[in-house]
Amino acid sequence: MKNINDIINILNETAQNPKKAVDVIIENGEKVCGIMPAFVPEEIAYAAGYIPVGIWGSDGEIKNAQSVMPPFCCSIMMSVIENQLKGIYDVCDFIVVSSLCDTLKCMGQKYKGKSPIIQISHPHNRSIENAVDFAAEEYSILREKIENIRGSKITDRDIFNAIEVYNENRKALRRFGEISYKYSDIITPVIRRNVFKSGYFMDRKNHTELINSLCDLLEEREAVSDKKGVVLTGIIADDRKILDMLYRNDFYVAADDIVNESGFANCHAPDEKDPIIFLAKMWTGGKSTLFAYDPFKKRAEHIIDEVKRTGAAGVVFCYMPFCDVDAFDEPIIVKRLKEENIPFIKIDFGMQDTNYSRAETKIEAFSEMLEL
Amino acid sequence: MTSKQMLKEYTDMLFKEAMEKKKNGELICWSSSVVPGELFDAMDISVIYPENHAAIIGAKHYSDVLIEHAENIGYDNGICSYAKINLAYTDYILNRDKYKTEIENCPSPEIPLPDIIVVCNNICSLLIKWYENLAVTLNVPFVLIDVPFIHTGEISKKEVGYILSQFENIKREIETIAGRKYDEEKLKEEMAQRKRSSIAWEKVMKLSEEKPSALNGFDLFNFMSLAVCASYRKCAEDTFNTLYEELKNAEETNENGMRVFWEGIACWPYLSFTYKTLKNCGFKVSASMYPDMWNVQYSNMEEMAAAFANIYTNRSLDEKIKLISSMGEKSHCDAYVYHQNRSCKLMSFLLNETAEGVKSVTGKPYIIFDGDQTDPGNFSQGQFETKVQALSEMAENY
Ligand code: SF4
Ligand code: SF4
Repeated sequence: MKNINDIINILNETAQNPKKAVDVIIENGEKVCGIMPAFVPEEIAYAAGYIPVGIWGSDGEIKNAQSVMPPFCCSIMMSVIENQLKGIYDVCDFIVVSSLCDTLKCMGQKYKGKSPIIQISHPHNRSIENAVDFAAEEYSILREKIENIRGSKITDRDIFNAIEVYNENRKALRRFGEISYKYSDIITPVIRRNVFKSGYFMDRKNHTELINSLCDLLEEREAVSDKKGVVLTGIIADDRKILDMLYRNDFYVAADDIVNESGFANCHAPDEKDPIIFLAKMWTGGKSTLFAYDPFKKRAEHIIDEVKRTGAAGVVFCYMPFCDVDAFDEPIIVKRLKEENIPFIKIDFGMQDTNYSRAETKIEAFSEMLEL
Repeated sequence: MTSKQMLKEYTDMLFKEAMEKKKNGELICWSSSVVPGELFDAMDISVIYPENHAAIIGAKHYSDVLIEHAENIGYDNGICSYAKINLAYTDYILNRDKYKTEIENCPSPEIPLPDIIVVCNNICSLLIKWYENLAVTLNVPFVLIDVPFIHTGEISKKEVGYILSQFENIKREIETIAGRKYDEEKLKEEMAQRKRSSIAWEKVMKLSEEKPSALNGFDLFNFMSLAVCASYRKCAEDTFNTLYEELKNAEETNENGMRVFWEGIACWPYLSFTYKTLKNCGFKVSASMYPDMWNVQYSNMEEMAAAFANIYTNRSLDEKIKLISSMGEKSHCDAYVYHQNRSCKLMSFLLNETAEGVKSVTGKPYIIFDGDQTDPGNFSQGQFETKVQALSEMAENY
């Protein structure tokens, strides 16, 4: 049986070297497909025998993307374009992208790598009855397009099996999210990120096994509470340097409201006879308010609830420059946090051009403030 | 009355009417710009269009004050300037005593705060976020007409069904706030009126296909506000018919000049500068997809759903290229000007591909310039001038 460090090493290695991880999958004779943000029913691709790989950009210099994308694009998609121009995603048999924001609408049309791109639209008005039918029809078309690429039908049984694999993975991640903050001596912010991130670059079945073993081993340990907890909110919180800064300044991540971390793990659907309806309901019944029409700004209330639930000392707004979702939510979240007397800082989590010394100063000041 | 006088009179009337209604305790709706406003108007809810209001503020050179205020109250520099202007204006009205001078100095007509707000995301998804903030700040109901992005090919039944069910929901919501049964008869009348107004608007736009033609695309930008705010009223139809007659009988002033296609929103603070610069280089704006967004014709709810989803900003790249090339060719355009709008991701992120696609169909030269529909700081007169000069050389040598 693997010990805790073995497991963490595998997750670290996968999350920190995604390219290598994907190469290994391909060397082992498996096929991969790319999944761009967000809430794509990747279970259908998994059912078709592909290992879905997350396409959420990467850090690294932007050299050529700005010649095809205006500079006021969020850095996730700027980096996706840069990687596309380098051919990094060409190993994918196809790529799926949603249309949940204006940038993604354009990305689905703009992407010009070797792999074909399939775009889907989600219904924003999730509580309308017909929303399920609409999502189900979009997902059925996605299914057909994947079948055409693969050259054979995907059975309902295969999709149910894939749903099972993903449900188990989400359950394991939720379990991890609920307990990990008690072990801040070992689960640093970077390791916590890697636990979630690694799932995007390996077979979810193997990932689940690792996460459950990790949780079992963590639960054998003594809980510690020698640091200050923060709740992270944002689209992604992928910047290793900033997460390290948080750790150096005595912070651990108590909980997150990050799209590709808890946003992924929290998806859950009631059982359905039809696997496509099942997946459609995962979106329409979903709790995540990031990306979805949120007329009551429940995102702010969700963050406050998470602070209260975990006893966190404050909130870190992991801000994505040029992202409309974050830009409009920010003033409302700030107002609500102030009303609730919850301390917070906003740190830019753009993948390029981050001013690290400014971020460090802010984080240090935040830490000092919370000591007082 | 001339069409210009009609435009002014009716625009003023709409704003005045809304203020009076508010005073009398009647209901006001704020709406994004490409929405079936008759859903509300049919129930005597006056509809105000904040994008139109922001454009007026931009054209009258007051947008920088509001944009700065939006940033002071926490809004990021990177968001759409229409949203900034409106959110700042809302803050002024909510804190009227504090911002008395700013409100008085604002050159646009005053608008009343809404009792309900509505968005159709056929032009962009940013609007959803903007109106969420209004809903929370003003504590008013927010209804969304979510039209899914038509990423591939044509609209299908699944989109129409989903949109139709939302219309029904909106009617119920309106009944709740209005406290009476939905007036289906009045809605039918207003839908028919919208069709007549749109036909009249289309007739004006189609003048660009004639040679010679007295139509200038900048006229369309000016008259567009009535198409946005009042297509379901007779005053819009009357004005467009008058405009049509005037143009039909007028002489073309630029008969031997070149015709240019303008893609994107106008730069309102620089309307006259852009007009003159183009004119000095021998160009006349002949066509633009933008005013055409308010040419929406339908006879029943199903067609209404399809029409609002089919707006070109909600279509795939291939469709955009087809629509622009076709309109450009019919209007005999010699060149294309594309507005890379700092406010608008949706209208900017595919410009390179659109421009190249249209060029491969029409063969005509193009430029892409940096601008913004209402933030004067994002537009460079020098860059625009240089690019237009270059375009004129390219077009002349074509
Ligand atoms: S939601 Fe924000 S971060 Fe994500 S693709 Fe859209 S603009 Fe970029
Ligand atoms: S300018 Fe663009 S981003 Fe702003 S409201 Fe219009 S379509 Fe949306």
